[in-house]
Amino acid sequence: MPKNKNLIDKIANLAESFADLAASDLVEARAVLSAAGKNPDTILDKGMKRIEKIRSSKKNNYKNNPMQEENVNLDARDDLKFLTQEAESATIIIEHDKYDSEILSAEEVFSTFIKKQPFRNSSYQNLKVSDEVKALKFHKITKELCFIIKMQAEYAKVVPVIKGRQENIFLNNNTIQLTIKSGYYIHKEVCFFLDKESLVFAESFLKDQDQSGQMALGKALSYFSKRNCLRWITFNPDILDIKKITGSNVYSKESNLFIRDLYGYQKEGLQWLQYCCINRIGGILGDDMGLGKTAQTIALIAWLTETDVFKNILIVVPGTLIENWRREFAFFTPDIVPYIHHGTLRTGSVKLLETQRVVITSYSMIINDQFLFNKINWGLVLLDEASHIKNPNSERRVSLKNISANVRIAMTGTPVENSLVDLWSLVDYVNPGYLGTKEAFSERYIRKDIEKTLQESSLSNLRKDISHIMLRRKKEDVLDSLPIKIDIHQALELSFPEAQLYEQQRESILSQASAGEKGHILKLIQDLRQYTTHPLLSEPNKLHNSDIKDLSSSSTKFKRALEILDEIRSSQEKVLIFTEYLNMIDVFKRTLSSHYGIEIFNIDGRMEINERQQSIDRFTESKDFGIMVLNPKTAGMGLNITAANHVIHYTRQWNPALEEQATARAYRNKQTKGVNVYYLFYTNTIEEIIDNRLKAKTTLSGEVISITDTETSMQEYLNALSKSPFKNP
Amino acid sequence: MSQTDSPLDLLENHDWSTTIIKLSAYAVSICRIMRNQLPKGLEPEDLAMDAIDKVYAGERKWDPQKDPNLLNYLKSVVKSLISNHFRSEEVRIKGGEYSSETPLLGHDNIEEEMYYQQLDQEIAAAMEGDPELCLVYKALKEGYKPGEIAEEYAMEVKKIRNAQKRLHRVVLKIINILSKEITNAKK
Repeated sequence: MPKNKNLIDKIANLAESFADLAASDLVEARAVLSAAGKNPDTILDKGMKRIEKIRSSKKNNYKNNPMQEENVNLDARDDLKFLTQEAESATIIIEHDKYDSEILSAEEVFSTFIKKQPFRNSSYQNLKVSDEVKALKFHKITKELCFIIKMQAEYAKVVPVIKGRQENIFLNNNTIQLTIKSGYYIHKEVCFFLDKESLVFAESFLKDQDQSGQMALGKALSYFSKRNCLRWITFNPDILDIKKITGSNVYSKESNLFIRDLYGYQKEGLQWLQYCCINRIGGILGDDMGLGKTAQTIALIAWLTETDVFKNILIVVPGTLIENWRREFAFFTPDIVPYIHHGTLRTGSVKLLETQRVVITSYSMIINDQFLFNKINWGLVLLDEASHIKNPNSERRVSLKNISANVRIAMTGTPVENSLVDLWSLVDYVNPGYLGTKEAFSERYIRKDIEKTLQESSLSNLRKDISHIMLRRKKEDVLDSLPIKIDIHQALELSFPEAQLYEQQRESILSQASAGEKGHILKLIQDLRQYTTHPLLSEPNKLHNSDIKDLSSSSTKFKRALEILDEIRSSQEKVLIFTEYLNMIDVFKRTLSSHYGIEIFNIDGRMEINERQQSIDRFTESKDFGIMVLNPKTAGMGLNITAANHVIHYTRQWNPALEEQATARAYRNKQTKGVNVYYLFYTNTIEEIIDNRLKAKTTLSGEVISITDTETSMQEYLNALSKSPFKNP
Repeated sequence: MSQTDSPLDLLENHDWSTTIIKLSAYAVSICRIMRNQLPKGLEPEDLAMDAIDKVYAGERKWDPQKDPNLLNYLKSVVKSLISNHFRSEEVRIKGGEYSSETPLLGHDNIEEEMYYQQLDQEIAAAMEGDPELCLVYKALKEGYKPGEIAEEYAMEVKKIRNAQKRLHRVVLKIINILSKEITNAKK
């Protein structure tokens, strides 16, 4: 009998006994799940899929694998008998290699035998059918291509060998139908197992073929666009020449739902995106940071909605940016209210999701709820910060690839972060097969030495290929139509635990405010600002012992700042980060220097005045990417740091004039580049009020709000405190 | 189960449709009563599937001779996964080093303790002095299994189970009320 220490242990015993009870009987178990607001059938469905996945993976460590050296008698299957009549024996022997790892995957089997086939084009990996694309209605794809499309549906699974059967590559249609209906596809010496969904696919595919096994290209294209298949074949898109597209005037319409004005280059971008959607071509919008990728894509969505080109659109963004996207929609297209699929209260209903015109979700939700998203055929899937799928094997990329869509568009300012494989991963997501397999791509372009990779002559071919499906404009390309300073207000949402703590503090201040303790309130307000800078600032020991992972997991703002820094690093530019908390400055210095492997410069009150200029000089002279962290009160005036063309206001200043002065360190005479100024703020917190003050200030033509006006400030402080992260704005 | 069946054979032939539901209910049930939170985005039923994954992959070696009941073995894996999550969460909150020796729930968080005290008191009040319920409640808290309680107090197991079910309903009701109160208090 266990000896219990305290009440919590006792309650734990109780919990376990109830859990045993819940698991003792199926009816009881279902009732427990339902009572907890969960759908047992959904859990079961998801669970069975995972079991299938586990079964198909090769990570099994149990030694006595029953798959080895086993004879499988398929004789019992009457519908397969015709295949075995002429075979050496009535028993089909399924042979395996000695070790799991040596069993060929379906992919390997395909590549082994398809490679040998005399296709009209020399490469099976990337059959170019651009001529046919030009005349979708009239051309047909050959039976060879039909075969490949069918084979690429990723359903052929089992790879055993059947001895002595099937010498011809192409069976006649009747035989194919019969074998497929029996649940197997026999090809040459290989027997492919087809699952239930694959049968449905295969049968509908067969119906779309004519007597000679050919298929109208339009129909084939629709299979292609659903992305259920085709990893080795792609339709080579026409060159997406932006000038041709805009010059044609075919895609010049904008939606009435979009109520703001676009810059000229953004209008061109919109037309390019429209072209992609109409022609079912996946594209990458790779404009520089600050050029308004979000605005262009929202304009596209407004147009798609108005013209009814696609019924439903899925937007996948980092969790930190969901609130920002919601606001962008409200700003650009107030009539389109996106459905946010995020958080614990999200729906589990496919029907509900299906009926939404625009759904916004996060990358993590894609992994968790892929079984939901998979069931819907999306018109457009749009990825923001698409560098999140740069790792081809990451779970989020695999999950995303399983979601079918007519068109996929990826947005990123940094298509290549570390290696060319990042680019392959992105391109292969938006246009599967366009760059061939990863292995072939690596063999062709990637060398161990980065210098050698860059010198590779074939890179120019790659550039050309990529330019067909990527629109990338640099800031300097569009400077004529661009303001020299771009303000980027990024609305972030506190995570639930962060919001809970913030709320406690806010309520404590409010209760003291009602008691009239004004002096104390100011201190508490400062505490709130400190909290929104980083929750761990109130616990210095913990703060200084935390690594970059801890810091970003405990602060949405820190996480977002890192994402922005990653982008700036990829463009090899310099950035100023403003925060008034010395501990935060130290944390930035410590963590960013090890993370990026560079010296992080700083200017704050602890530094002698003559040392400050030296620090700026060294920062200016440093090559490429550079970070300087500054206290806006110490470094806000008089310094000239035009080497940086990015400014991040990390801790927001109550007085907007202070922020403007700080921005002016980089945005001043002699600045040769456009300057991006990021204002990071949490919605429904004191920071939102600060952000609004700044925006109001800019419209009030230079009015400076005095920080000494305590009465006004006090009222504004109290107004600011009315914002609660738990109440909708 | 024959002597020659390997763990993998048994896993392959197992009726997962029942086990998935039961194991998920087990995980959900534990997480509902204990106040610790799983990491964001992770649901109790995910842990149930993680447990199956680990057993399948051999990361948790299941010995059918030793534990013939697969569900029971999976339950122990789920429990250990939940403990690990709670421990790491506790370490994250309190700081300090993680160790597998870190006790699961024996921390000194006053708020948690007060919550469980209140829960205990509310359950006691809700039983309204029903002797059978009180006895079962006390014994379950001490870690007795229904069979052991039956033996100890010379009662029918069926009766104990019924009392346990009634008690479960009472506890869930109280937890719902407490959660609402806490949420309201925070607002």
